[in-house]
Amino acid sequence: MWRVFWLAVLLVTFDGYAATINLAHTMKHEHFNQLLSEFAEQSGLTVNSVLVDQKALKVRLVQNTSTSTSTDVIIVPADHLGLDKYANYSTIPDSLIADTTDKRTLETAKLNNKLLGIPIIQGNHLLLFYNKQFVKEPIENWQDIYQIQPSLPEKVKLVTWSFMEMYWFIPFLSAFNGDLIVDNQVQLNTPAMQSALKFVWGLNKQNLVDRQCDYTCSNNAFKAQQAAFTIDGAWALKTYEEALGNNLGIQQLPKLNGEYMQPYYSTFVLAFPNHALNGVNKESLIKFAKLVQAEKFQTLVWQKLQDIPVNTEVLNNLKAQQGTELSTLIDAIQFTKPMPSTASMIIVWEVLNKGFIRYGSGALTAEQAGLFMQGLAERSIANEGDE
Amino acid sequence: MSSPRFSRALFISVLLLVIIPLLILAGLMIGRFYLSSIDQANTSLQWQARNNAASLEQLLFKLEKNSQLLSSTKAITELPNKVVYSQFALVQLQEFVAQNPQIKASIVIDNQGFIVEGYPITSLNLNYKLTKSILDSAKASTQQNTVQIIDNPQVSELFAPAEAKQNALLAITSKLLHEQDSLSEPIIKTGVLVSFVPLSEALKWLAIHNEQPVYQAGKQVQITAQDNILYSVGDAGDHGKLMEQASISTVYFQGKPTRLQFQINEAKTTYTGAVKQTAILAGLLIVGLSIFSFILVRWLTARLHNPLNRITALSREYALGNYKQDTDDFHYQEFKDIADSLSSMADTIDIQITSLQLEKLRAERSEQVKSQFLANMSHEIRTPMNGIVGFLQLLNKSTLTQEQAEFVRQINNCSDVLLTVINDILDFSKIEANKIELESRQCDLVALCHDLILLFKPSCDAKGVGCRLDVSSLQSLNVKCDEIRVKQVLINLLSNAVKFTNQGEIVLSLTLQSRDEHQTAVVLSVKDTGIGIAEDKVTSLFNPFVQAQSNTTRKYGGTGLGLAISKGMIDLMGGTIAIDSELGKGTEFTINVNFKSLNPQDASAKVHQLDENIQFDFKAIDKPILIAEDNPINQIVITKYLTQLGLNYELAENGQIACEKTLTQDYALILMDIQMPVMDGLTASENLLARPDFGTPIIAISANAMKDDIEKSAKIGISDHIAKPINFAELEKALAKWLSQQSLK
Repeated sequence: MWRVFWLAVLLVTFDGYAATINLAHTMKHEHFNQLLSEFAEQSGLTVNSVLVDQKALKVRLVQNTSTSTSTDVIIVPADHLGLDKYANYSTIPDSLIADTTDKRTLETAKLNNKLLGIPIIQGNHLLLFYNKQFVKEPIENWQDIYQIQPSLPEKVKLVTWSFMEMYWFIPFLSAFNGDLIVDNQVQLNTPAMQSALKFVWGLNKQNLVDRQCDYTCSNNAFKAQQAAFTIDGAWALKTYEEALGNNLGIQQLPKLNGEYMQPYYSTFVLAFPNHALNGVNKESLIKFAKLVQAEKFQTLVWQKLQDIPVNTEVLNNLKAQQGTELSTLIDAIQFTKPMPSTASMIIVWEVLNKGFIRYGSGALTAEQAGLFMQGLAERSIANEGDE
Repeated sequence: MSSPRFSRALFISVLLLVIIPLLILAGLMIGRFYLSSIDQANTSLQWQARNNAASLEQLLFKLEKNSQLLSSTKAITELPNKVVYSQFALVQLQEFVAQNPQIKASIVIDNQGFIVEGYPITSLNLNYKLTKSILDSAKASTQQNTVQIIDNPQVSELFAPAEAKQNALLAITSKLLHEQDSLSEPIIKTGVLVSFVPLSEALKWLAIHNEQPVYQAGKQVQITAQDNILYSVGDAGDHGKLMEQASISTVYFQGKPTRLQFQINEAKTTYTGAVKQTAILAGLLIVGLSIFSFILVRWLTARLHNPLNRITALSREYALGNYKQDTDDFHYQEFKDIADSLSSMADTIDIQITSLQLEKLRAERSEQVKSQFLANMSHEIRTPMNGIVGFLQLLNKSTLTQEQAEFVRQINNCSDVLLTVINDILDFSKIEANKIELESRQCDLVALCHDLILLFKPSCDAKGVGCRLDVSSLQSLNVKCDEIRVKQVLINLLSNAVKFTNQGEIVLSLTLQSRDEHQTAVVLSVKDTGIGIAEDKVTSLFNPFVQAQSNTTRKYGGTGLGLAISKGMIDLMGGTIAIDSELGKGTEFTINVNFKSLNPQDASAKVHQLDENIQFDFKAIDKPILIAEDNPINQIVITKYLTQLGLNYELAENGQIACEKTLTQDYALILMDIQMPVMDGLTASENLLARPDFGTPIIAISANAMKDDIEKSAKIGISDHIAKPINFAELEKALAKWLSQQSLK
């Protein structure tokens, strides 16, 4: 995996000298590479895009400080902009932002009030997908999930999600009224955190969810109709529609203990590491940035990827034309909360993961995990500041 | 003691010559095979131990290199100092564990000994003391990589719960060396990457690598260090183990470098199984061979036994006199030859026996002729003797001068001697022909002996010899016997005694030996003080025609048949006769015989018989006596005698005339000669007695004084029998008897 990544990066880098846009992205949509290539080619641009694992890309971006090689552009979740210290993103001039871009999305692409990314897809929030073969109607409360279990065939899982990824932990934390950063302060040692840890790991201990089932496992199980529910991002709609057809049900995350499970609302942004926007491919990159914000590409974002475009006109047109799926996606946004766009967020995710695992392994109690996370986060953030 | 059997001897021979040598040979070969197998087993185990140890060393080398490669990645080296690498590092650790299946956990420890990151998440539960210890050992080594032994059950439980028992782990450590832009300290150590490999997993890999199981039944594999068993699998049993070990590589155990050893223990039975199987196979073969030999011996002996049995049977058939047997169906020539020889012998015997049988028949015929001759001679002599004796008796009753009377007496004595000779010859011939049958009537032996003494006393007195009876205190001794024959024997003995005794005495003794309701044992002896008999002559004294000395006949007379007849009679009675004699001093004959005891009914019968001796007045008979007699002389003798008695008579020359006469005349009695022309006496008597109203007594008069004649007479109903020459006293008695009965009717 690591070798493939470096090979891809090298290829992208080599082609960059030939005025080709080298692009790395973490979009897990299987059609994304093809869409980008075809669209750019039609526009007279050559784009070499490569899917990179988000964690690997993060490391790559961190390590980028000591290397002279980089990509021209990346498409990543907006929280990756927190690695600006290492990635040296180009500041996006307002002129490069399309007028039609949803202004709310721009807030997610700012770090310290500096616009470092161009939103191209919004939402990125988690939804509850269900298989109508097993679940007849949407559920309102998380506990309703349990009612389904007795009627399930033997090998069909009740619910799946990428258990060990912290992005999926947030809705549970929010249901206990917790959040990672409040008023720019890391809040990891909270009762909400402890409750959320206990609840989520409790589900695992009750065998309601398999902690070892990662994103791919979860995704495949639901596609294979071997899971009644799955929690997945809005980006997975297209894939599930193709797999389940009319059996696919989609709804916002239900309430847990009377509280909404609020996933993070985020955006996928174009960002230009190592100030690429001012580099040799500047013109191509500007052209590419405009193209992806334009109506045509934004329309394709829905049509090909069934992701929510950031172009308000396109979005309005689609709302008028499309059926319930898009509405559901868009309606669900109102139950999300924006992912904090601070530099410390990148550390918080790591620390949260550490605390989550240590609690789950039994190495630490929930209380100890809270203290551990809070302390480590604060030390790490302080260290980052020192460097 | 029975003779040994040929089949057993043959079987023992086969056993000694084939089976036992085979057993010894098989034992030697199996023993050699066993030693060779053990040697090969040791070599094999040694090779296996070395091969496996080398493979494990190869595995550890590979894992060390992989660990070093991972530890050299920037995300891992910087992980203790950069939290942003955590998730990525975790993924890397996960991938590392996934790519190295023997590694069950990988952790990154910082320089303080704390776990920074680990996969799987259970590894985060390792206690600080352990991680600090691993860190310290790794730091102490000059090598970048170390292999440490973690012999801690809790750790094993964490990473290999299924095989946690006595399953140490190898901790492969790689120091995290972080390069930095510093002239003074270009490389800093940020921590240690530790990968845990349960020894059970190493052995699983070994099995896959070798494409065969590391252990199997009867085999035990152990990983040891400093004589500590770190991991053990399989079971080689408690006895008879082979053991080989080989060194894997240097590891740190309890903080000190030592050699990790691969040890194989294997039960000897694994290798000796083939030996055992061979031994069993050999045993089965030998048993099979023994059975085959036994069957072969049985078959051979049967092949010999059957013809031998047939020859034995043949011999038995020959022994039974069946000399005509088939001898052609023998399979083997040898037996055929034996059978032919036997057959030839049988033929010879058959011829000899046939010849003997012919001789026997001839002898029997000769005997019959002799008997018939004697019978005829007896008849022919008795008939004229009847005339002589009869006329002498008549003459004696007439008026004679003294000299004439003396002549008549001498003639009478001569005729008595002649009759005695004739009777002896007749008795001897009867004995020889086995034609004497003894009667069984009441007899008082004491009275009998007394009568005999009285009989011989005149003769003894005449010779001046004493004669006495010794019956001890017996007053009487009644038994059932043939009185006539007993008397005949004793008369013979007494006659001899009188004949050969010139002085002294003759003693007749009667002794009762024992008596019960069935038998009475008596001893009769005749002892004299006569001339005695030489010892060498005694044994042949009972042979016929033998006398003690050749001149005895000339001096004392006699036929020499007396003792032979006596012995024959005693033999018939079931007794014995013995002689005790000393030349010049005397002789004693002793008879031991068991007579039947007398019961009370027999005793009363005797009394009745005694009452029969009554005086009878013949002149009172008015009816005539019919005399059926063909011989004119005899006619004269009988008629004269009857006339003397005062009886009337009529004559008939043969049986037929007699029968006819009885039709017209009623007779008081019929005297019927047996041998007559036209119709013999028996036939005539038979005819007469067949008549329903015939009641005249018939007295047979016959010169045929044979038992058969008497029996025939009695059988057809003839009342009595008188032998020729007629003793007038006997005749008178018979007449009196039957005429008296007739007159009573």
